[in-house]
Amino acid sequence: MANKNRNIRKAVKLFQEARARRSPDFFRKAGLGPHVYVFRNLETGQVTYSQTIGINPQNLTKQFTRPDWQNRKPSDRIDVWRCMAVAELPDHAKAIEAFDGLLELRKLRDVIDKKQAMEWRVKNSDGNIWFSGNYRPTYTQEAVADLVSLSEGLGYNMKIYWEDAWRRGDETHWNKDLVQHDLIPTSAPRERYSVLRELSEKAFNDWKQKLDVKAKASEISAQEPTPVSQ
Amino acid sequence: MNSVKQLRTIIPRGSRGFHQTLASTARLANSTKNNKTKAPKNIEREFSGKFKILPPIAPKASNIKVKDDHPLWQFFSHKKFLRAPEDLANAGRPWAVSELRRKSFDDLHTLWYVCLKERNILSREDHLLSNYLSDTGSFAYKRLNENLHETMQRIRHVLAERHHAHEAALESFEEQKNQIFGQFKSRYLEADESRDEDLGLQLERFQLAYLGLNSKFPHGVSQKDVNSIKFISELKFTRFKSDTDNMKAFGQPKDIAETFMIFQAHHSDKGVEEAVVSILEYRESAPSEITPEQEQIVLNNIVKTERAKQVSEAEEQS
Repeated sequence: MANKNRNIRKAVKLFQEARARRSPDFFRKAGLGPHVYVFRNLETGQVTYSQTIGINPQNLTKQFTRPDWQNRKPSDRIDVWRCMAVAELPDHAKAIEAFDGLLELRKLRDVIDKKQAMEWRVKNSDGNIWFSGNYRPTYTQEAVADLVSLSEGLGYNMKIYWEDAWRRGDETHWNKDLVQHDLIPTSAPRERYSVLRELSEKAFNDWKQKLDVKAKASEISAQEPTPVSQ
Repeated sequence: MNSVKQLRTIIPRGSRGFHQTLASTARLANSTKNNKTKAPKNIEREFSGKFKILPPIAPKASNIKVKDDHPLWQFFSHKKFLRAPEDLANAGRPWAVSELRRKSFDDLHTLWYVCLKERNILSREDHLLSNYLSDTGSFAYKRLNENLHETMQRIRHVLAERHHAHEAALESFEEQKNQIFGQFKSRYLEADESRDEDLGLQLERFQLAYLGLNSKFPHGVSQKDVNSIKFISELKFTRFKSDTDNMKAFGQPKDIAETFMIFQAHHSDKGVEEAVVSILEYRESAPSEITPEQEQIVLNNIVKTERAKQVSEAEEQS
């Protein structure tokens, strides 16, 4: 029992460490958009979250804190990872908050509410998580559910770019006022990272434009003469 | 040079190479142990009770919007994923050979592709049945597939019959060619003047049926057409030859251009007479000699210029 508790504490600590360490300024200076990337493993169906375009071995260590035979720590080979979704937040601080939120949800699923999460998973005749080969579809489906609870928990307007329209599931799960859906452009599927880079660049430019507009508006309002009382 | 000096100020002489230093610096900067970047401030870090986990959300295929005219719909029957075996119960029987014999080539061609498309749909459905569903209900699909296969085999049979018939006809035509041509020639030349109009139509049919010669030359003039033109114009000239001065001056057509003018002449003695007059005018212009090798080229040029003339005249009229 003492060992188990120690393991849980260790896992929680790892999740704490996995949280975003970069400040919003880092992403602004790097010219990255306010994005959170969701990558899925083609072999196992597992999901990892990333703040940058591509998977990070450190993130894998910290996001798969309690590996077992049904949820092994996945390989960091870049060719088995595909971008499943890109969540676009209004600004960089909120994007960091969203990344942390997703890790919090992962922690709830893997450590705190593990029993509840396991109950919801589809089982095979042996009582284990349903699988075909090494593939367990439940992990990607859980990631979609986590995006839903993230949008509801944060309450920010969010735009999610999906690799497929079908993956987001039924429309009834989503709050239409908070979340907009779109597809990741598929014009150049061989250069999938360049597509993500373009998305990021576009999001950064949009964010910058909004800032400029705000700054101009405040300038104009400062220049306006005060009404003279007659 | 300056940049090297600047680097020397950063990396003292005697230390490791710049590339090694850079690599190790990058490695250290990325390692967890030495990562000294501070956690961002002024950002919500506590989420206690903010989030709740939800049951997994399964993907939904109906989110994908497919165009109505998507080409892959051709592999589906009325956009159905899988037809029930009852839907195939009244599919009918294969076409009989006797029915197919009455159809034109275009009809058979269309029917072939209709069958092929239907078989594509069936093979997709059969694949689904064999992989995911039980084999018990697939009898109707197999029967329909067999019927379609039979129809397609019968279409091939009918086309083969026609092909063999065509080849046999060509063979017998080669044997009887001289006889048929001789019979037509004697019939054509010995007929009365009163039958000129009728014979004109007969000649047209003859040249189309036995010589494959279309007077409009839609695909240009081939060497075979040159010989046919010579034969037809000779027939025409022999029938409408007279004792007029023009005819005596004319004698016989000297080259292919003259032969072609007679070929194109109206099917009457007046028409041939007019052609002879224009040939005499043509001879006055002292045209250069046309060798047998040049005949086809010359005729093609004439046909082209005439076609261009007709087009320009039609444009002027409109």
